[in-house]
Amino acid sequence: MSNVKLLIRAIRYKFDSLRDNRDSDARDFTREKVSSLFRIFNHPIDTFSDLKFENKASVTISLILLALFFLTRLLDANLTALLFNSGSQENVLVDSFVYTVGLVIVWVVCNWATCTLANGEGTFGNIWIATTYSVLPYCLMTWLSIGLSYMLSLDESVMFTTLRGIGVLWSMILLFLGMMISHQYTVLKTIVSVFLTLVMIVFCIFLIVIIYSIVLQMWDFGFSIFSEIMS
Amino acid sequence: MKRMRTLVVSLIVLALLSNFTVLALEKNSNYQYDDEGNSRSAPESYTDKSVWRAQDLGLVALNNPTDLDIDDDGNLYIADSGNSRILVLSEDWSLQKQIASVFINGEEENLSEPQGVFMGPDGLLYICDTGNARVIAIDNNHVVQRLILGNDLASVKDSYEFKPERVSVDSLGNVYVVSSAVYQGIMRFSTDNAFAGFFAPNSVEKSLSTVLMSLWKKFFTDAQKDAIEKNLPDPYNNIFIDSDDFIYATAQAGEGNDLKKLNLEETNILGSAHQTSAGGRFGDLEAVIDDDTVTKTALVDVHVDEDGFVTVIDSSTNRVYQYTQECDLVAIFGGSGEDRDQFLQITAIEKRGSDYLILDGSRGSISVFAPTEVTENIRYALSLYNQGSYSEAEAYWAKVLQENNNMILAYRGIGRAALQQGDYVRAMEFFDRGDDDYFYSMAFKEYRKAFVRQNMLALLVGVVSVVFILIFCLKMIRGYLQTGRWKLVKR
Repeated sequence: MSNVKLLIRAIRYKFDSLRDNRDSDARDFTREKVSSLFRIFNHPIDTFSDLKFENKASVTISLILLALFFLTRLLDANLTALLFNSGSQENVLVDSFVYTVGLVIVWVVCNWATCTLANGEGTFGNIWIATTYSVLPYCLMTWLSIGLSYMLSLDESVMFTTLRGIGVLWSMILLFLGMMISHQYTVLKTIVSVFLTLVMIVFCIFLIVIIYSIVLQMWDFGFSIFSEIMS
Repeated sequence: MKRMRTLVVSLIVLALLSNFTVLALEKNSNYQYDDEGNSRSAPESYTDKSVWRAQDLGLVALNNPTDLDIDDDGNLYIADSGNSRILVLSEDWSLQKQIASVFINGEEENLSEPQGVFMGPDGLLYICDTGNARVIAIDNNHVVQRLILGNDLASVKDSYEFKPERVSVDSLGNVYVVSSAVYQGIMRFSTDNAFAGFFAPNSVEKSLSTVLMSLWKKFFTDAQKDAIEKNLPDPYNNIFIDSDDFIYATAQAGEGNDLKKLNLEETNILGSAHQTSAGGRFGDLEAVIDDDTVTKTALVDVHVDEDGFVTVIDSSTNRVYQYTQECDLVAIFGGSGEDRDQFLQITAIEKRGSDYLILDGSRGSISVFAPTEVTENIRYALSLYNQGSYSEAEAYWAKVLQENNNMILAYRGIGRAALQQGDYVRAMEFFDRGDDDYFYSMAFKEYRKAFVRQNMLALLVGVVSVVFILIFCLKMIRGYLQTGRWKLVKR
């Protein structure tokens, strides 16, 4: 447990040094910071500028949100009622991790890599905060839909899918606004940057797959030499 | 760089092959498929009763026999193409007659490699006289009553060769002929023996590679175009006409084209809305990969019995697959090999009584398979089920489940019975195991209705109190966030 605390502290320290240093409030988890998370529902644009400029961002909250994102995905796979749960139950843990934490990391890295080249003002920390904060509507709507799935029959499945759709759409709009404000872009420029980021992500995944299989083959090669020598 | 390229290629190949899983079970054990298309072990469905060979009667051994048919009296007709004869055996396997020649206009003519034989509803025996490029219908005295020649077809295509291989006749006397390498469809001849057109042509397979090839072709010269393989629809290889004049046709084709049930409007009406997710695919669902080649299902014959059970044979695995009219799997048996219940080259299938007669073209033998008790129970249960007598079928389904707890249809059958009896919780449980979303949802709706009616007051109080508690909690949290103390703040 202490290891986790140390890790969080280390990450927090790293982000603190990245952050705008006007107000060096040492505490990361304060009431103002938590309230600004909930303000994201009614005043998303103000909230994102607060996160960037007013030192309202909290790494702790961002990590909690990321964990919630992962948890939501897990709950979705395991708890959604039978009628609406079409996914297979194999590799749920790994799949969920890759599709939440992995996706956020790849998104943040790729967005940072593209936008720093395109005069984006967002730091790595800004992008990380904006991305993790914007998953909240998705999580809430998914929880609601999981609860609802126990009360609906197939005929009413449109309610379930609509709720899901609203959650995803809302989160995507928040992500879009977050990117726009973090980088101080115009709408058009944000659209282009998002598109470029997506292209970058595809490229990254391709590279990751190739590196993974190369490592696998090298391991195989090394192992066969090892067993050849030992036998 | 070369290593890199092989890596990329192997990655792509892996991605393509990941659709297939290698058959997990031992090849010769009994199995069936579950709803997701994974093989599960199953009890023996049909057991081999006897094997018949022409040598048993002191006849010349069958040489490349291709087709079987059975008439209403139980007589068996064998198209022994390699010996240019038709054998007629009565029900007790004694020889009735051998047909090696027929009388056309009073002259005796020999048959030449007859590949198809069919006992028509009009009492005439239809024979595909393949070597003589004609279809003939003879009466009891071997006198040709109907003669179908492919003459009219020259107008369709100049270099056309009429090679009839299988024949079937509907109740009106229309003759349907499957001819070798004809991709335009089944050939239909009207009662006056004239060509009446092609029936239900298969569509050309559309895939990424065919689209790319059609783009490439734009840059090819005519000579190059002729040299490459043409992208043609798959030809049919066998037909079966049931008592309601629906035409079942098989082809060595891709998914959705390999088995069709055709109505007179030439549309495929096989299957239904509520079939399993593996439905619509026939033969082995898990591809077996031998020496880098994927074994593809190749259906060669189909039989539909009076209860609507569709039985197909697959020459790539030498297995027999039986389905319901909804394309739900009932039984799999047979296999490649030298054993009594296996085949070297499965060629044709017919049904007599409750037994299936299966022709092995390579061995020149006919194997008789009888249903085991489990299969008989399934068949009883399904025929009761199809009449809507779900409660009566339940006892049979229960017997099936005792022998085979992987039988999806049994779970569904018991679920339907429970639904009919109003036992919604049990129905939901069985539809869950049978993986039937539609009826699960129906049972759930009934269950929900009953539940809400019983607990109306408690539900109302519960919902209202939960909403109030939630609002209160949210307000408290907001108050804390604004003031730092746990109290409500008013705006």
